[in-house]
Amino acid sequence: MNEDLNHSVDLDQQLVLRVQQGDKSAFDLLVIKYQHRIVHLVNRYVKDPTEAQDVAQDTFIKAYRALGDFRGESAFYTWLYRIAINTAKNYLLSRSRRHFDYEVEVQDAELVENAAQLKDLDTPDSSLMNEQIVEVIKYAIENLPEEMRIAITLREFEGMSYEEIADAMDCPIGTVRSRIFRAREAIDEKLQPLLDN
Amino acid sequence: MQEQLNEKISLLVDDELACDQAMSILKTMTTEPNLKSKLQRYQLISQVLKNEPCYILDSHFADKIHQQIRHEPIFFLPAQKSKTKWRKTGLAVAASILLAVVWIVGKLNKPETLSREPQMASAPVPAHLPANAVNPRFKDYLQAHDNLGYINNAPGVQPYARVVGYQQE
Repeated sequence: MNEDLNHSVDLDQQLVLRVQQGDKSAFDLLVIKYQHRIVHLVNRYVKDPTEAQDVAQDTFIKAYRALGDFRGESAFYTWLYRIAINTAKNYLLSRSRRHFDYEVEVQDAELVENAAQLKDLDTPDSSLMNEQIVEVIKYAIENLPEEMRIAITLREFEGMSYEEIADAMDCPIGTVRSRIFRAREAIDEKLQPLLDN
Repeated sequence: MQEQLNEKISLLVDDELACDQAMSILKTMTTEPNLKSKLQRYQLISQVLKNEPCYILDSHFADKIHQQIRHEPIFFLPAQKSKTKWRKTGLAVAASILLAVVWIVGKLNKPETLSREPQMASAPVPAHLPANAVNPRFKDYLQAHDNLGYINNAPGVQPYARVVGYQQE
């Protein structure tokens, strides 16, 4: 898992360096990579999925503007994380909202103990949609061939790297890569019609 | 071809794609929106598997950010590195020129020194010799002990000898 984290950090560092050298498209990749996590984080504060997306976009813009001062002393995501929290808090202050039902410490922010509570704050339609999505994906996973199910579970749930999964399953890394990809494709086959409709 | 692209997106989700390939697939996404949708669905699958709340983002979420930063200034952070690089290059060129000059001057001086006959001090000319003639013995002596000739490796030249005397008690 440490190897996987290092790999991710290395990629982030390379992308940040590219941006700092004038390649704006490298920042697009960082946005795509962290968009869901930042929206998820911001939503804990603003408690509105639509507003959360707006605040998340502001977060990324602020991050881009401040990227010239980023020296890599911390991981990029950690730095982005702090910007997201500050942006969310500033947003709430500017809207004169005092919905601090709970304080989320930076260190504990990743522990989604109150995910169910957050779900209750969603609109009925989005809540229903989320439930359907979860149901479809879980059903699709349960019906995967065993090797594919194990591979994708080890990757997503356990956070293992491809090398670690290859060791655990006693197979080449190429086989791991293929199994994870085919697992995603099989799940996507069920998910895509739901989202398209 | 499509399957290969989808596989690359799968690797991208897992950070298993090299930076250059990641940039390449991102560029391809700008012209193929279905690839972007594929990535978003893969990320959605990832969220569910991690037991995270799933968010269906606006399909143009990343595009809006892209549009906004288009008007932002471009960074030129390694300007100092470039300066240092050019400074080093300049110094290297200057040093090379200097060495070349020193070598050329050295080459020019050598044949001149070798060909140049030591300047002879005028010595009293014996009466039987013409006024502009130099005493041959004195000339030979001076030639043999010319310090400059010795330094410049002139053949048959001995170093200038300085004699120091001590008063004995």
